[in-house]
Amino acid sequence: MIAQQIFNGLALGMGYALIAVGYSLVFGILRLVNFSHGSVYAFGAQMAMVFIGLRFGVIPGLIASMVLTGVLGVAIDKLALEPLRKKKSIPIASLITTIGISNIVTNLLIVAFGSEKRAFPPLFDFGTLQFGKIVVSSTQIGMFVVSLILMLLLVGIVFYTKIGLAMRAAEQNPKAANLMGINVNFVISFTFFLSGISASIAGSLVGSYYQIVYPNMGFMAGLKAFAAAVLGGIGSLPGAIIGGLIVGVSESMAATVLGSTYRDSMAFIILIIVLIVRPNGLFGKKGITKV
Amino acid sequence: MLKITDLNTHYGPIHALKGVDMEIGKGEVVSLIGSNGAGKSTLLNTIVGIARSSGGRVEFMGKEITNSPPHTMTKLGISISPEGREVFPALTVEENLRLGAYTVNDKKKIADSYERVYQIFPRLKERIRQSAGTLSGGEQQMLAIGRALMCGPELLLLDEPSLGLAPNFVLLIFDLIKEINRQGVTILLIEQNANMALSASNRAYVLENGKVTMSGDAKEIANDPRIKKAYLGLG
Repeated sequence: MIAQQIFNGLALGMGYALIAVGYSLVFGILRLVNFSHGSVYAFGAQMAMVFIGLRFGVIPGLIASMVLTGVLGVAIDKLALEPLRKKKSIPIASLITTIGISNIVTNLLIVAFGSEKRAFPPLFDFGTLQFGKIVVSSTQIGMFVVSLILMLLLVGIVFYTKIGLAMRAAEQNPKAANLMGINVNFVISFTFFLSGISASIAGSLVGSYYQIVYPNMGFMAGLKAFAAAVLGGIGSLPGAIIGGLIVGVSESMAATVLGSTYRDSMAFIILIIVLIVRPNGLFGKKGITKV
Repeated sequence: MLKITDLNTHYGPIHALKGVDMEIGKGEVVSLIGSNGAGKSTLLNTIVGIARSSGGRVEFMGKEITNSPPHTMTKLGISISPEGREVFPALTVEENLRLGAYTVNDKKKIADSYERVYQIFPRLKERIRQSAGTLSGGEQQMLAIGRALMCGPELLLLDEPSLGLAPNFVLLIFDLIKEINRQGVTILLIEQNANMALSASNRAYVLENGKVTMSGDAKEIANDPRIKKAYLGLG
């Protein structure tokens, strides 16, 4: 029973980890918690539903959704956040702006698709596997494997490519990075693109796990993933992964042990404990001062 | 090579540069001296586009570059070692240097640049895998200058290279600056340590309250009684 729940939790946790990575990427470079990320995730899931529904086929449908969601991320930065940076406005202004954008995106989705829940096609439906007493659905395995591959890909980009080096440089000292010939605004756009792509995949995977999508799906998932990112140490990619897995596992454990009413509160209980015990998170760097 | 005409810069209500004229020829070492707040760093920031000029012209090799964004400078052949060094503390020495050659795509050229930087600063080679934040101040200064050399610049702008360094390091850094110049790089040197700067330069400009008040041969300026009194602590 416990082992079964741990496995369920790991699959779900990978979904949270993928959303949390988006928070961490943007936070790393802008020191900004992008609260619009949950709505971007919902957007990605809706787009995947639309494109797959249009008989694009699963993979092309997902790719179309990834590109479109990435573009949405870039557009959010270019239209709303970059103008604030240019004016050197206070950090809290950007933070509140992202909350506003979250509402705009969610409500546009409601206008376009209605607020009801819609069926999402299962992406990896090959029945279930049984290991002793543990039953694992192919959707769970697919979710875990795809997320893991994507995560490794992201880590590879950040640590082993030229644009990744530029991202890490801009994260530490945007002014000096600019003097090295790095177009920091381009690097920021690229970061938003990556975070949009990972949100779209997370949305599609979680959508196919529950087989439903709806415009408000990003609210709770976004907050939980934020909790996961803080738990792991916001700004750290491995931290986002571990944080997501911890939130996912504790959530499915809580659902079994305490009853499903407590499920949604687990992430936040963990968040509060982490903030008290280890404010920088498990993998967090010390000395982050900006909000 | 670099020609600045009637350059003006405002920081909000403050008129920081009030019509600066300056010229640097190929192969020269020119120093810019002046007290704190005279506008030395503002002039440098305006040349590379960090600060926006409100009037005047900057020309580099016959091409107008006034208010070009900072990230286009290395491609033009202008490179800067900024005040306070501004290395990337969590990245390794090698990664810092690699970033200096960010706009260079030719692998051979990058390899040659590493070679050249390690030859000028052998200490950096010993610390390739160390993160820049763990280096001493003098080593970080070497890294900042080395990083600025990685793009193979025609013009190197050095902002306060001796600031906060131990005296023996100051001597070493100035020797290396002369060596870099001998390899054909034109240098604009900004210094509060006027004594050292003047001895390492061909020509010099004195900046006071955003205006050039004196310019000419570095040795003549060093012997000028007013300069001796104001900047060299003599007389």
